Amino acid sequence: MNKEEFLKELRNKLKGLPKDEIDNVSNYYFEYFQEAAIESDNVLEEVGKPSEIASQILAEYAFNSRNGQVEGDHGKKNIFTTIWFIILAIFAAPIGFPIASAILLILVAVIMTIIAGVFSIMAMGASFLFAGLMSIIAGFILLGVQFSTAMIFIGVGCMILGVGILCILILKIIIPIICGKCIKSIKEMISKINKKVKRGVEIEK
Amino acid sequence: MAFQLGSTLLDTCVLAVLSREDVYGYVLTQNLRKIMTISESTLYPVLRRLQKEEYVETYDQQYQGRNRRYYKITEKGIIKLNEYLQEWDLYKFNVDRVLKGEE
Repeated sequence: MNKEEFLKELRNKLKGLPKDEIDNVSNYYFEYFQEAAIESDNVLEEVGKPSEIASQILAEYAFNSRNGQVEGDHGKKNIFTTIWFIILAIFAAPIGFPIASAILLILVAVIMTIIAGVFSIMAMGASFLFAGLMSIIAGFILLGVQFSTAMIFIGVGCMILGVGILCILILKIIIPIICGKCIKSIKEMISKINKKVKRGVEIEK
Repeated sequence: MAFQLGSTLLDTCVLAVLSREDVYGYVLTQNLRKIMTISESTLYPVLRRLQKEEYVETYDQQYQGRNRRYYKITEKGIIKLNEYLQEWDLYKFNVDRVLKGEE
């Protein structure tokens, strides 16, 4: 692979990043090649594969933009951008399309499971809230008719309402933590993939 | 090369080189050649990250009609470097103890 091919492939794999970032990378390697006055047609030996480099850059970028967010800021745009970069990073890694897809699908499965879990807690919370409220209202209606029964309704209603509120609160705390951990493990996984491939290449040499 | 540089150690090495003088990408890579494998020797992601974390900043200089981007360590970077160096001394000491069986 010669310089032009390298730069071209690198820019290609970095599509999706802002123009400044891509230009930065391009310039770095362009300058590097100039300084090294590389004559040979094999720049891979000097600087490594564009796919590895791109994968690393994308992963760092995804992680860093996530880090820059204020805790609890779940703007949909941010999450989707992060996810998109992670996808790009996985596919840029030099592991071949089938493996990349497999990894991606596994990730999707895991994420769906987590989302399902979160949703069920939400549903539980919502139904408790509703049931609790209904019970309290029923209690109030009964007040005039049968005092003691009314009291029971109101009391139990409050209890259930409390559990519902607890569920919602737990969710509010858990969701940011889970998101943070997920992104971190994904980034680590990507660097591990890169390292393993590098090792494989080393051994082949 | 049997041992691999972890990413933290790589960061430390880069910061250490920069603490002695400002350099551009190619020179930095040559400096670190002795301890980095070929595929580790692509420093761009490292430099970019150090820049985002504000440990390193850049400036451009013309040389013989081409542009050179120099990397320079910041105050924050120097502080971080010293933290890393302390940890490294401790780590090195402990590794040697295990390897050489010293008490």
